[in-house]
Amino acid sequence: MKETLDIIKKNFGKKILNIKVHNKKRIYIEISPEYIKSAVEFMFNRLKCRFSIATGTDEREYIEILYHFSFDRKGIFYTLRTKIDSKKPEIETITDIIKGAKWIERELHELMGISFKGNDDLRNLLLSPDYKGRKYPLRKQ
Amino acid sequence: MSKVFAKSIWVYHFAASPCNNCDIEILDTLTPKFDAERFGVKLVGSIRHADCMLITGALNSKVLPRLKRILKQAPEPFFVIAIGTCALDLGVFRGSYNVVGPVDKHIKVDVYVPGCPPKPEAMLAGVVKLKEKVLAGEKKKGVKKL
Amino acid sequence: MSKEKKKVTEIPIGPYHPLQEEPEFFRLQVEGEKVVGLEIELGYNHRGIEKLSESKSFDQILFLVERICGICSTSHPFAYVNAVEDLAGFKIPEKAKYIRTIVGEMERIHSHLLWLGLAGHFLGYNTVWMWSWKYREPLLEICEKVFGNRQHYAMMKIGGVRRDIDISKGNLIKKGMEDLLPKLDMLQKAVEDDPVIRARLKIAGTLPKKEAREYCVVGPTARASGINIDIRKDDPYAAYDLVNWDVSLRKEGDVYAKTMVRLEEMRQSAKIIKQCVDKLSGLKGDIDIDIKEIPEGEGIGRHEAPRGEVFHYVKSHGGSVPYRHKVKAPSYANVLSDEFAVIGGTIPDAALTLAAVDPCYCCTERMQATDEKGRKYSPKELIKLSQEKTEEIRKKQAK
Repeated sequence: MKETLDIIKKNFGKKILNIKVHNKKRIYIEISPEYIKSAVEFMFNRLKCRFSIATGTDEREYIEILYHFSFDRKGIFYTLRTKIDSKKPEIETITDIIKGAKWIERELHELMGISFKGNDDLRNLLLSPDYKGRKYPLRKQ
Repeated sequence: MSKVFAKSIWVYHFAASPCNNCDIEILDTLTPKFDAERFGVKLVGSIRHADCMLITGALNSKVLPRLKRILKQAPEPFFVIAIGTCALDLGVFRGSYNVVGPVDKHIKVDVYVPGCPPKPEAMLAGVVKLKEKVLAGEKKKGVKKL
Repeated sequence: MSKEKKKVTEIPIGPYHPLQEEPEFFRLQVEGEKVVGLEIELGYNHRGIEKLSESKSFDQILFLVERICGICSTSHPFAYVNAVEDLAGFKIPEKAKYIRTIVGEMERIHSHLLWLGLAGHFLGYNTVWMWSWKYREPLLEICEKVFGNRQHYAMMKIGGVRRDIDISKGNLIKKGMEDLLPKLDMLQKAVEDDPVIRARLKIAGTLPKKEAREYCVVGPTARASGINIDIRKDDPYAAYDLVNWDVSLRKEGDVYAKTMVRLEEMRQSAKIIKQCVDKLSGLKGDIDIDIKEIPEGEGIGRHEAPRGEVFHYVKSHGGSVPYRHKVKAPSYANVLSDEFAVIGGTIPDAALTLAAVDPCYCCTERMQATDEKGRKYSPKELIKLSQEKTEEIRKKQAK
């Protein structure tokens, strides 16, 4: 675990805002949003982690996006954390790196109202076109 | 008419955003161990061939228009059995932003089978209840038009 | 240009299919017989569970997540308790570990048998369907006797399990496993030795390793494509590191490999269950720990469900309800990979390929297909097409 984390630290350098080691299998790395794409690329293509899912959380002052990566060989779960402005939530897409992220970006767009730059397929995934409930249901009021 | 009808109720299964569990138990009811076919119940692939619809699940906003469309194709007389707690009163899904059920808010239900999931025996009891209703000569005007 | 360009026809599959399970909507794009594209539409099952979860207490959520899916009705609670225990750093008693493992593995076996039966039905081998569902029934009976319900066992609890297993019923479980093994051998033989089934499964729906990685597939779908991932081995939880078992792995990535992986997994599950029952009989002590409150923080829990990795993320800002609860089911990744796997295959193979990842199956019988001349296939005809293809191969091989 030590070595992998060292590689990540060495590679990301000053891009890392904060590292939280919850326990030896769960590590959270905070990165500012402009570097997230290169970080995702590094995790997926260089470290050969498996992209599990992304989580969006509305923390009222900001919106937090977590990219969960599973380093299956060692059973470690790395999470890249990034915080974006909740007034204008926008971040770069990762679908050109990871095809498996197509649906989750659509879902985050639909339920949280996050737009992904460079992803032109952000149609509704889950809700019906004549859905009448609250817009962006996963946002806090 | 009703006597013959009661002996061969063909059912169509409609999953209106369930958790699959009722659906599996419906299939289990049809496999040899519980053998619903001895009551003349047969699962058919299209609502056009069916006399009865088994509906499971909490019914969400995307399914509702589909349900309306499918029901338009139903022949008459036509009966509806609501299966499982979700179809009856939404169960744990009450209060969700995307759920528009329960089922009887939108269509008329003839027999309710409660349980989460109802056991195959309970479903058989539901089928028998429907048979009794038919034999008692209950007039059926078809499902509430939507 | 447009004259030479072949007309692409769209075949809607779904969203309603009478057999069972979740409605999903597939749009198959075909050129004649050949499938050239696939678009998947979801949402017929969206019940807003993540949002609902924010209004329920940590203990109530167990009953909610159990109802995400009826077939893997213990996988979601399993991953959820792992997540909350990760958040708070709880350690569960050893007895609870074994009981959890038994519940998880019982579920894997009956889920795989269910899949195998349906795969048989789509091939036109209804005998396989009826057999594997028949062998599934004794397992459900054991579940009812031991856990109290056929499905939705409600055994999981934060910090342990809700009910103890009556160890006098341990023999019942072990006997169930013993009875199952020869039947699995028979089913495996049917798949392995029958030239027709082999021919049907070998070519269909191949997902190579590279694409499997790009689509981030999990579970048997990944293991059939040569990706060695199994959360139970990689990141052990419950009692999975206390018993002996192996990960089943194949390289081919086709439907045949997926079937073999699942058959082997059932054997391994039986092995795990037997060991757990043995170890449980000598154990004394509590089945859960006392929990007063869930502290602030975040936790990630995973469980290898029958279909792959179930992921739960729980964030708490203190209090009795979570601030955010994210759920990821394995089919979310696996179904998307169909986009690649069906392309280049034929229409009869598509139904099989879509089913091979063990999604929540549905759809296929209610599909309407149109070929270039505008002829329509009814849902039944499509299954018939698939079954006819099997028949053709059978005849060819008989010659």
